[in-house]
Amino acid sequence: MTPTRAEFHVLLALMRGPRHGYGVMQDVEELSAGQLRLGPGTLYTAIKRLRASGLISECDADADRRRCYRLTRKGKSVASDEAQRLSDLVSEARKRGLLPSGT
Amino acid sequence: MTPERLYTALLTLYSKPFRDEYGAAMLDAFRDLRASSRRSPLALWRFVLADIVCSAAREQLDECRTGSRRFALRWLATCALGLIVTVLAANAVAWTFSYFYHPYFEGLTVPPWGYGACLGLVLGGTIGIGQWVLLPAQVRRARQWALASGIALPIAALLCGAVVERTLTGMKPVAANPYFDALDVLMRGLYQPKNWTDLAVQFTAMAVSGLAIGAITARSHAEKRHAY
Repeated sequence: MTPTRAEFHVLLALMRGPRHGYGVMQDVEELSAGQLRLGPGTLYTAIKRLRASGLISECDADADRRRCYRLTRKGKSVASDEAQRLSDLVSEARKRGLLPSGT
Repeated sequence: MTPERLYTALLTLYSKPFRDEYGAAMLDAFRDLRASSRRSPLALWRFVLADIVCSAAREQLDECRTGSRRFALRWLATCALGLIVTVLAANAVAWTFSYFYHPYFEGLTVPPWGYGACLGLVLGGTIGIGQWVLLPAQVRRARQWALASGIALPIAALLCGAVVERTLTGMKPVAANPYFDALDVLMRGLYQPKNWTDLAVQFTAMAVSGLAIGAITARSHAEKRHAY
């Protein structure tokens, strides 16, 4: 499964540990330096698909009794593959002069 | 109306299973977003509305592709296919009969039960084939097959209302010129009932034969499943 941009950001946010929905939204905004802001709708449709694919799972509720999600082993593997793919793409872009080399 | 209530109302844009699973969590996230937002209320609502509309549309499409709606849409498609094939088959027979008319056929009449049974066989057979092709393996259940065929027939009867109405109020000779008006030909039946009893017999025979086909295909499929 190739995650979408929003799904990949959710997976990245969960790399730091279990989060509830709003925590993921904050992390994604921070990760992307404010470039990507997920609304509750986009976030939970992504969560639904990621859960269905077995990339994340629900964990015990936190102190506020909110539903938390964590990355599964499969989720880590998919996130890693996607990161590698993006890294390869950036390398290729650098080779073709789209990005300055050596940065 | 409070923002929470408005947001809850907007959640109806999502499918019910999705709302049941994530509706409360989405409302919590909306509350947090609203409490911590440094944007103006107008900007916040613009963001939230765009988010809801886009994600609800995507979620509804997902539901159509994978959820129970997939079955419902395909089931409706089989019914529509069955109806269209039946009406076309009836008209093809009528056209053939009139085109290759021979005095030998003078006085030949088709009883209402015979006509109904033939239509039912065509309808049931088409629906059976349609279900076989269109419905995914996990929903191929014997009961569903029979039920789908049984329910499709009254729907077909309802959709054929125009035909019934026209045949009862007197029509032109059957399929006299099938190329003249395609819609007219499509809506025209082969048999013209003289009264309500004929009509009832015709549709009963149609229902029984259609159901028989549905039951036979369901059974054969059940046996096939068992064999595997």
